[in-house]
Amino acid sequence: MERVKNGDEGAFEELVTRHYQSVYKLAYRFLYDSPEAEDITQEVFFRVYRASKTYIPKAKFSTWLYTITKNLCFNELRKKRSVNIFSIEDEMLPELPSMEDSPVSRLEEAEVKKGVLDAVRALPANLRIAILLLKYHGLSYEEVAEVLGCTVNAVKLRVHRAKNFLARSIGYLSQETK
Amino acid sequence: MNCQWVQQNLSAYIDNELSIDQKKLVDNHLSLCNQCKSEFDRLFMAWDALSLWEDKRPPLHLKKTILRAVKKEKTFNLLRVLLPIAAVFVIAVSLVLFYRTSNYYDQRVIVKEQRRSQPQIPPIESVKVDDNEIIKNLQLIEEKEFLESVEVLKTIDYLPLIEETIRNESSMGYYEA
Repeated sequence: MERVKNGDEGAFEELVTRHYQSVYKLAYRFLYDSPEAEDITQEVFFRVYRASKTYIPKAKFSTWLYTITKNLCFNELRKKRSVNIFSIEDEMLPELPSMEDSPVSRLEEAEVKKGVLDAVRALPANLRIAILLLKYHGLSYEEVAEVLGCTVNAVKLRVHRAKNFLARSIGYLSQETK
Repeated sequence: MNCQWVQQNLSAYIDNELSIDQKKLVDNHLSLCNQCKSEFDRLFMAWDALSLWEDKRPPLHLKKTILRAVKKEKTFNLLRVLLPIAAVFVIAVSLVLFYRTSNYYDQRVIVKEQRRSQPQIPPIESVKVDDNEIIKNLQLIEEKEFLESVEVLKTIDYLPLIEETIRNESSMGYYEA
């Protein structure tokens, strides 16, 4: 980033090469939309380029990059208004359907997988972004807290709640398939 | 160590976020407590199931698109800096040219007015003078000059005879007034 700051064009290309995939993957997994994820990836690097002159390294570069990505993803969600973003206190996990209403015959192995993904998608945005950063991008609790702008305990709580919800969903699916 | 503490920290235990000592304690507890072990299995299975979420690779053109867009932005930024400078330069040059041009026209107007105010002198070639007339005029001028000289001589009362005085001086050895 120092090299980019000093106007090294090759350094910026190197930066894009190294990070654009992880930015895209985070945006895609969060939004489930490829064109939107592409737009967000582009916008993230625009912002990095614009901020390169005034960039002061306070934390890991990747943490800063994920913070920009997360903010843009949340803005996109707000625009769409399809998902409500609650604060940690207000987060409400969606109710699982009752066993009696589910048609057992249609669930097969592939559908379990789909069910898992649906369960992840059903997670509130705050929980989803936390598990994405933790599980797929290898961030620590401290780094996730930095990206989300909350305390480590809040991250711990969110991740625990997300896992609990997923366990309930997957448990529900595995009972259905029996 | 009680079950409540373990269950609260099971998620951190799965994520490898506990200290080495805490991790050992949880390990020991799980080997002894079936209830906590089943809770651990449940959460671990959920976490593990996330690996079913397949990776999606970004499209091949994305990197090029990003670099191209940033290059455009760079050019735009450069223009954003250069355009005001160019605009100021053009305005300054225009003002100088305008000032000079207006001065030039003013000077031309003044010169024209001056020419208009001066009496018209016919060109020398256009005047045709007769030779006899020139001779006659020359005689008149000479006569006039002669008469003026006579008038000047009339005003002088005494004119010393310089040659006579010099001769007296050389023969007698003294000067006589």
